[in-house]
Amino acid sequence: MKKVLLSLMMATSLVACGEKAEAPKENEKPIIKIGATLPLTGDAAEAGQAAKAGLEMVLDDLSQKGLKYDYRLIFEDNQMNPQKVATTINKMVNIDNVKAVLSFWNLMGNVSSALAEQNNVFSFTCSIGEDSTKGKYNFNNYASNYQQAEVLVETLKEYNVKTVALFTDNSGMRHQFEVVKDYMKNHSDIEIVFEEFFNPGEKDYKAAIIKASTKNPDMYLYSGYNPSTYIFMKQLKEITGKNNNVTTIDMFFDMAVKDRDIIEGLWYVDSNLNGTKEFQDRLLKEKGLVSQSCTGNTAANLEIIVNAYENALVSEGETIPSNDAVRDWIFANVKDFDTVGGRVSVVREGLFDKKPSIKKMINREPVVVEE
Amino acid sequence: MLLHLLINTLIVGSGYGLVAMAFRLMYSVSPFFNMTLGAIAALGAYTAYWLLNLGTPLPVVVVAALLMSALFSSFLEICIYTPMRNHGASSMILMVASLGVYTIFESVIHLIFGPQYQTLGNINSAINVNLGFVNIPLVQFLTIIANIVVFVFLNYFLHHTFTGKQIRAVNDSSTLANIIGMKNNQIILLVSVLTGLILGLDGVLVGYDTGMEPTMGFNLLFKGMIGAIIGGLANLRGAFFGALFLALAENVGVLLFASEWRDLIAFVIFITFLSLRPKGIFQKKGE
Repeated sequence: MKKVLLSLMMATSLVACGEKAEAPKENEKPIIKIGATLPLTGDAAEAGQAAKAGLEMVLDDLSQKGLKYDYRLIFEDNQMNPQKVATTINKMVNIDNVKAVLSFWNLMGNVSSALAEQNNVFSFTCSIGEDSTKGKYNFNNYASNYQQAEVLVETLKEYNVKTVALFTDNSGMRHQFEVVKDYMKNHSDIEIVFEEFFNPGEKDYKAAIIKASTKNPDMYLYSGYNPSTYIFMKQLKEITGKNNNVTTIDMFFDMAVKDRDIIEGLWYVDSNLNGTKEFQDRLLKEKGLVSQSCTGNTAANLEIIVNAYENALVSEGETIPSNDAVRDWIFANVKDFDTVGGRVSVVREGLFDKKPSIKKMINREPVVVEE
Repeated sequence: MLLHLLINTLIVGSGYGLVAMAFRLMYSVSPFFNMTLGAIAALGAYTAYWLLNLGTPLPVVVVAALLMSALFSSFLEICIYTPMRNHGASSMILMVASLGVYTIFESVIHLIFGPQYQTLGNINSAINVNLGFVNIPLVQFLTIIANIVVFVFLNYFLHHTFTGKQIRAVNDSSTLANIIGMKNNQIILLVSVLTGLILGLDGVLVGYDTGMEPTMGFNLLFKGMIGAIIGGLANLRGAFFGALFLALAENVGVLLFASEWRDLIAFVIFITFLSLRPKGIFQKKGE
């Protein structure tokens, strides 16, 4: 019995040793795997599915131009749960051997950036969080809070607004809110007569609006996510009879079209996260999906990574560019770089920046007023 | 400003009040923390949403939403809670089961309608009611009226009808009620239908006022439950006034401090009452 077992073990070992890692054949392109940790199911599934479709569309387009390497997208579902974000990234890095991880929004971007950096892979995100660019290989494609504040405050000055009431919720928007306040204080005479923070998911803003109305501000500014935006504006109109407010970030695209009457005629700062009009139209036509927050920017990130790998220098003895070579290429070349997310440039610390625009809701469609 | 705040207290308190009265009513005959009450309210909202999208006239939509909630409530009672009760399940087990049912319901709504926020009404078609000193949206006015009507109706029903007295008898002592030949399960089923109707109505009103999401049920139930406990689970007026008191405390808190404190204030009041006056503001005589 012992001899049989020993023979079996030896035979198994020989077979295992005989199995070599398959080296790329002569005409096969080196494979570059890019992971994307997205909320494909759960509350944010709409955004996750739109991002996935956008990525697939962009990779198809790029492949048709002929690429040096074989890019493989690996999708993992994180259900917008931070623990699952971590699990999916660990899986993609350690098992799938991805070279880069894509993600979006603060909750996912911060976790993704930190883990990717620990594992020496790239992280490209679209996130309001400042932490997502701390690492050497971290990149964030987002209009900086400072730029948004600048555009907002300069537009307020053009409209001769003297006093404002500021509202936001205690999510990632609060930091942006602080930047707006700071810019307002340092670059304008606009007086903040009232400010209030809400807990995420709040449905009753009326008491706060009543309090603010006693200060008689020229404008009520709300910074937040839908549905809070919709409910706030509805209640603002109910209490004050006015509808003259603006949000600092565009969360209207995920507002049902029938609900957009609430912001008809209002201007707002659009950080252009959901891609160029052409990209959005194609996504709807070809995939039947509406572009969501960061859909455009996530797809743009893929464009940038692929272009970087295609053009970065390959050291002798290597089959693909090193991380440093890719990073160097990005810093040297991503300047007024046209992507499906718009024209971007690298600024400090791995932040891709593009100037927000001012849009107005006309007949339920956002129309550019100022770029 | 104070007038506006008082009106807002009435509006918010009425929303809490409908759920609080439904919770109290159900609790009186089936004493466990029934999480599916939130799902029943949400079903009313989503039924209305579905029918409105099919172009159904509004009166039909409202009636259908109420009936659907009542049907769902009685279905749960017949298929889940009564059998469990008959097998001797404790209130803890019933509560856990209700949590499971709520989770299933939320997932089903998510699958059918998606995770997006939805509204029943269009802001352009919102009608305001002029009360002389203030204008309020029709749906909020109707919420106040509904709360008062339900309170008056339930008070009359429970104290001046034979069935109402039977319900109060089961509330006082289900064992004794059983001994004297009352059919407790039928009483509980009737109460579940009534509860379903009230919650369905609340769901529709909330759907018009602040919109809906698959997770709306829990949020609706939570504040209503706190209101009912603060007021006292012993009688209906406890639920009615407890909900108003909660809304008043929240609005005063926002006025004096900040909106961030709203939930904190609700919890502090809740814990304070549980610690110092667990039977609520309106305790039964002799308690």
